[in-house]
Amino acid sequence: MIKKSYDIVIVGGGPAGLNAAINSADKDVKVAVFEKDREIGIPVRCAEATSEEALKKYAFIDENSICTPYNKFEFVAPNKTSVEMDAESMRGFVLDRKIFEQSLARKAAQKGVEIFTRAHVLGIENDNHPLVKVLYNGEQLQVNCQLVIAADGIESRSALDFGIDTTLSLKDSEPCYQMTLVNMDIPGDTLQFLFSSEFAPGGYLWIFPKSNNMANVGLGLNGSLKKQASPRELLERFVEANFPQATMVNSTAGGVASAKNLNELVKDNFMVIGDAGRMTNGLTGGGISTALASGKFAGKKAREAILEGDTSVKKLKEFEKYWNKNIGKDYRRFYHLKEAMFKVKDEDFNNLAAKFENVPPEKVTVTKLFTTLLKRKPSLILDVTKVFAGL
Amino acid sequence: MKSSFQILEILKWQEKKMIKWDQNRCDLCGLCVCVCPENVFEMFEKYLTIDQDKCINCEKCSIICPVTALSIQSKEAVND
Repeated sequence: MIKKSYDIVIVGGGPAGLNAAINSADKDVKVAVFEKDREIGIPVRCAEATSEEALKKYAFIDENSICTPYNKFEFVAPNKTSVEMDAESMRGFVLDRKIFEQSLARKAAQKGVEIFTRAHVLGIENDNHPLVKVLYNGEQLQVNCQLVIAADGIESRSALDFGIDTTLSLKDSEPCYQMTLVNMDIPGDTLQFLFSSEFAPGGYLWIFPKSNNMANVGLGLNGSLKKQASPRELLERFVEANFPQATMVNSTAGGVASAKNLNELVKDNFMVIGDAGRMTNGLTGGGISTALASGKFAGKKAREAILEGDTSVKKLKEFEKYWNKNIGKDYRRFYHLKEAMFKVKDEDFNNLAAKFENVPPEKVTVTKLFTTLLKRKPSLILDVTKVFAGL
Repeated sequence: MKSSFQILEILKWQEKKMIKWDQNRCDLCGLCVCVCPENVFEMFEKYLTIDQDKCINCEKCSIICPVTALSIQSKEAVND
């Protein structure tokens, strides 16, 4: 058995964990990241779109990882009527996530972070300080540390070791399936969202371009509405009917937590971030920006805690409060909107699209779309305005 | 409150049922790990470990699986 010691151990080398590492490590704070896969960045279970603002605010823009920039949205109703929206203020990039995560890893390594791949965390004991047991290259490592940050994704079990219940209800789980298709003829600057109770009950289909010729095409549906056909079968049918000329170069299954973030994000010597903390946008399922944001906030607070020698729950609660004040608040509103969207029927989408069909793209806003869609729910309209108008 | 008869029925049924994992279909997405209320599943490298004894047959895993890799079947079928 090999013994090691760090100030901070991060479980999981995705965007949340690596960004936490970048923001906590330097010569005074020793950080290790344990990633169970053999390479940083794989497998990619993601539609790969994220906003420019989030990248700038919480991490950095890595030109090499950009497949294509987007500045338009297109919403397609079940009857195929579409509404185009000029989304210059929400513009962003469809990334190559593998390249992006590897550039995060390089940055972390330059700050002195030690990254272990093929390192499977078996369990964490937490008496006075955490003891992390890791299976690495066929050997067991015993890793002592002051603080553990769990960034081990949707399948996280680390939080359980600290007594945090992470179980998701079916209605807060979105089973998804995605294919990367080539020989597509699509606008490279537009993210398309398609609504259909046939293909994606309680969710949506997405077509996110990686170029004019290639796109991530996927669907996610609400777990409580899943019927006989699986997301894979539904997507196969959709692609067959709509893109018979396309060739699949990659396919992946995945899950999104469309939940509110966990009530408890910290314990003594412990923080949980990213998908593991259920920090996804419940409405869109987007999780890259929240992973980066939670990584940054948690990393900075973890560093402060180590330097002050106080990793108590009282100290770490400052992260939880900061999160809830800055992002969690909006995300609880997204969650309420998701619940409302759940009751929207195909005909409501069709009516909405008909109303906006001839409105020029620069006049369409997300706020207008939602307020029209939810006009029978005045209590939610305030939420819509607050979230999308940035109030 | 369940009657003792109902409990006995459930136990008898549980006795007969198990989770069957189809490794060839599974993409290791981890959604079953999240929805399981009894923490039956754990992902380990290319495997999904299943603690059958903890299973309460709620079937959430088989409902949620995006690729129908999990099903609840009779013990005989699973052991085949």
